Amino acid sequence: MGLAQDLLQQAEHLATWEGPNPSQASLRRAVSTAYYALFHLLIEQASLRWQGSSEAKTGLERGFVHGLMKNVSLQFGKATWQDWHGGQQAVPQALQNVAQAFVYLQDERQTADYNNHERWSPAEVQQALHTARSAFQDWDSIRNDPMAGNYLLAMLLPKPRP
Amino acid sequence: MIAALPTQEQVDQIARTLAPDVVRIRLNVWHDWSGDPAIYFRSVLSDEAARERLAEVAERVRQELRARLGLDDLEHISYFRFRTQSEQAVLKEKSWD
Repeated sequence: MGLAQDLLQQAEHLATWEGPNPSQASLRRAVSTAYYALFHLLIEQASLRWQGSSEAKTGLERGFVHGLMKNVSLQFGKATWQDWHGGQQAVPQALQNVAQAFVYLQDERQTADYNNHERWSPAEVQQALHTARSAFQDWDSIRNDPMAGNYLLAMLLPKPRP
Repeated sequence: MIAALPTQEQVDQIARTLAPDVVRIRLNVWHDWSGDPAIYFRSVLSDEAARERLAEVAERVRQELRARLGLDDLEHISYFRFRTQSEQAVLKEKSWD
């Protein structure tokens, strides 16, 4: 089992291990870990497509930046995406779901990690976990589609070529 | 064309059609962590709905708000959060009341 799946399991554990009255610390860590599960899933999937050296693969994995991943996810969260040649490509619904989940979970993670004024409830956290689980399932259904490859590649390239 | 930002009154109307699963939905136009314009929808759900059908009800709320408010046509990013009536009774956060 890869790191992404482990993180998803850990997020579930953090949300539930204290029973019906979890601490804010556990709820926050669960949300943050759910985001990182999806973050690492996408990085793992991109590196699987790499055929070069393991050193270069490590460099590729480090090339993923949260802000650019969000911006690209905003593009792929819509029905169409402007491709590398300026044409409009339909984005499969499952990929839209993954991209929207990424944007949502990233914002939740920022709030969970840095906004101490916001308090969390178990239902909010369960919803975040559900979104992460669904994104894993959606990714599994779409990962061999060429648009999934475009999504991952766009996350490494600041702008498509004109 | 950029659609108009939704109002709390419009959101209240949608919330009423989703009762009794949805108790209320609060709208907050702000920006997200990276400074992008954002709309936060904070939905308080009935305890029964959240206990039995949380994911289903949450998805229905998201779909209704997206479709009826034209959220996909806005520059603002939409974020949806959910908690239960009894959770809010304990947490007592203004942005959810």
